[in-house]
Amino acid sequence: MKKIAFSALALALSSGTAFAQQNNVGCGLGSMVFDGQSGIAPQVLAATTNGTSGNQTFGITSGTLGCTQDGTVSSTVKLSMFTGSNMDKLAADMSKGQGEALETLADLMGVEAADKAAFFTATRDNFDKVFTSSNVTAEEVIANLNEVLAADAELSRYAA
Amino acid sequence: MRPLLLFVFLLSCAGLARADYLNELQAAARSAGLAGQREWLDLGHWRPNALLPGYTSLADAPGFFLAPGGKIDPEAELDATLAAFFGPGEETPTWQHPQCRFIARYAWLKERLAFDPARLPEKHCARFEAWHAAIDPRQVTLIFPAAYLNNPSSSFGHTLLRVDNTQQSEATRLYSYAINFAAETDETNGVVFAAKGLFGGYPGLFSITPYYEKVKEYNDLENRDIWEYELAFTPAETRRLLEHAWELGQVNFDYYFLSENCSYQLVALMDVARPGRHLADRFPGWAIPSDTVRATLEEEGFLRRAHYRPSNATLIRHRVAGLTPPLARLARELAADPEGEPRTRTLALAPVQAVAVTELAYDYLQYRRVDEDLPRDYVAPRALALLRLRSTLPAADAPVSPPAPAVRPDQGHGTARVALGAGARDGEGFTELRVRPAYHDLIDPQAGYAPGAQINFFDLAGRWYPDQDDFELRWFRFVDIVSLSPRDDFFQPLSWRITAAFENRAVAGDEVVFTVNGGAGGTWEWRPNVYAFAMLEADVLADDSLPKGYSLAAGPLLGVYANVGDDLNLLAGARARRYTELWTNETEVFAQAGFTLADHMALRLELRATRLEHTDLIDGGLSLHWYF
Repeated sequence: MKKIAFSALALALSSGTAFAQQNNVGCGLGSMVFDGQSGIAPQVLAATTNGTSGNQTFGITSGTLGCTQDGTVSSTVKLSMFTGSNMDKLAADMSKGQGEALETLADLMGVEAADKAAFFTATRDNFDKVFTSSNVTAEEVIANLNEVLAADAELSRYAA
Repeated sequence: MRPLLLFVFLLSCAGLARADYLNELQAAARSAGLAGQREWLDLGHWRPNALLPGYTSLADAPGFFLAPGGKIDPEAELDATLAAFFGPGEETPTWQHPQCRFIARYAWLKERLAFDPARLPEKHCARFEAWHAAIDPRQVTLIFPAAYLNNPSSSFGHTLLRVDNTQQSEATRLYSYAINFAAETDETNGVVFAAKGLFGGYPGLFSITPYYEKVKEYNDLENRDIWEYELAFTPAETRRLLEHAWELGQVNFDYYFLSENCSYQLVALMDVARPGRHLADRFPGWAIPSDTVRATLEEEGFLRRAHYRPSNATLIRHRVAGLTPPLARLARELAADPEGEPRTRTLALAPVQAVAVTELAYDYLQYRRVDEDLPRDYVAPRALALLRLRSTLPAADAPVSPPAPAVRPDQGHGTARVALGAGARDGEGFTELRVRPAYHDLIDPQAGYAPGAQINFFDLAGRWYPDQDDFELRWFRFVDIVSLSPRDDFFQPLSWRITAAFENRAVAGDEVVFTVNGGAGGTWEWRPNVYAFAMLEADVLADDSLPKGYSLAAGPLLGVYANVGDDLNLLAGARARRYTELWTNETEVFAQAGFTLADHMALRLELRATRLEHTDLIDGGLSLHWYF
């Protein structure tokens, strides 16, 4: 079953970054232009049959598996899982300085409402420093973002 | 010895007292008739048997029942559930006490029977509480991904639930959890999948996913617009919904694509949360997602708010509509070559235009990546170059957001249809009756449906010719799909149609024959809401009355389809075919007009002129269609 296979994968990945390739979104190991489910055939199949096809889909009382507890994401990996799964949207939002994914990222990083505008501007102004290459991983993006925040007088308290 | 004896005595005393209280509760449950009450039957997913008296549960996991015959015996299950609540043990990471494992049953029985915690000690359900706290529910939202481009069968769509959390704002709905019911399988062969799925060949399971995964799946990969309906469940009902979802966590239900599907199970789950509505009863035969959405929202005030989340393709169309053709072309060129000459031209534009072109280029690149399955090596460097360029341009004032359609899918016509009509064929008068259980055709009222997408199932039409005292089957179409998706510089979908039916055919000597016919080609938007299409068609007829038992045909189809205002749909066309074995040419000209009279009623005019080798035949009529 997909779910079981995925859980095993997530478990293997949660302990290290050795498998940081484009085709996994374990606990936040994603890259830009992640090649997940794509192509017409799988889409049509999924759409017409409602088969399980998603990443990060978990059983509700599945217990503790990798980064999840009964299907909810452990708080320690929320940020990295979100980032890994939304790299394309985050990159696009940062380049504009606004957007839903960026708002959500700010929330997950604990950025207060009053500082959001500064946070958005900082990610935009430092886009090149955060998305250093097209092979950048989610983990690197978070690390780069932390560096940017640390260097910003107004936002340094949000740097992890 | 004495302390030990005392201990044993106390233990057995406690044991006796427990047995007494259990008997008392079971007797109270019986005298109150709890096992026959609707809430209990819903908690166990028992449904009355079709023919025999009694009940059978839809749940197919033995672990879901505590009594040996629990699947068919709600009363025995209730007794066994009460007994299990007295069981020993404390929760571990891999084992739950029955009070926690069946937490919704526990809550309901506790309330009905007023459990005495002194005599039935309550267990602490740490895992459920941690899960509930992680979800942090504030309200429940019903999610309906609409049909996607060029695949009318996705009109049937899917429904799932989103549990909105207390921390989330308008801008951060992405970070909530979605509860989804889906068939679980690794089958990649679509035919096998469909066949097995129709007959419940796969287990269906509830699962939980961060909502952003679902948005990605539907909005970004499948290019389906998503409708989000915020529901007015009370906090107690929301908790009950989650308690029951928890109970169903590892319980499989045979998944039947048409009947016991995602939407049916969600309705059943919502019935448990909000008792008394019995919405699942309304879908005994089949559950079409949009119908279940309509039923769910029917109760006055139950819809708090509807929110529209456009797909990437919708966003691209919206962006293109806001640009001049040369700028739209530049965006396409920029998407392919973001570091070359198109970049220079983009930078020479006024900043507002440069922003619009660059953002469109990025969205279009993402669209092409999925649509054409472009390799990452091609897409990723271009995507990054586009975003780098974007980050050097001025920040956006407000996000670009396509307006929501004026009519939501749940506000469209009902999917079942009955029609009564009258007309003449070759000068001979007739009255006609048509019945169609699902779903939508091109002439039906368009509001709330995807334009150019038709999918009919089991459409039946019969005629009565009073002068000849003759009843005649016109057609029984099992499936009848048409997809007219316009092509333009950004999107190049194929248009297609397919029908499988028993049909009365003039070319076969007015006999009912079995036919499979279809076609493929292109559609172009000629002017707003007016589409021209061209297809090459093929037709297979099979019947004993045919010279060799079969006949094959091929030929062109040309047509025009138009939505005029909100209430008038027109379809007209001409086709020509040559039939083998019969060695006959058939040409046909047809026109149909549908006029929406009221919410659930439409008038339809149809004309068809057919020319066979030496005969002309004119068939036309007027019919009234009711939707429900």
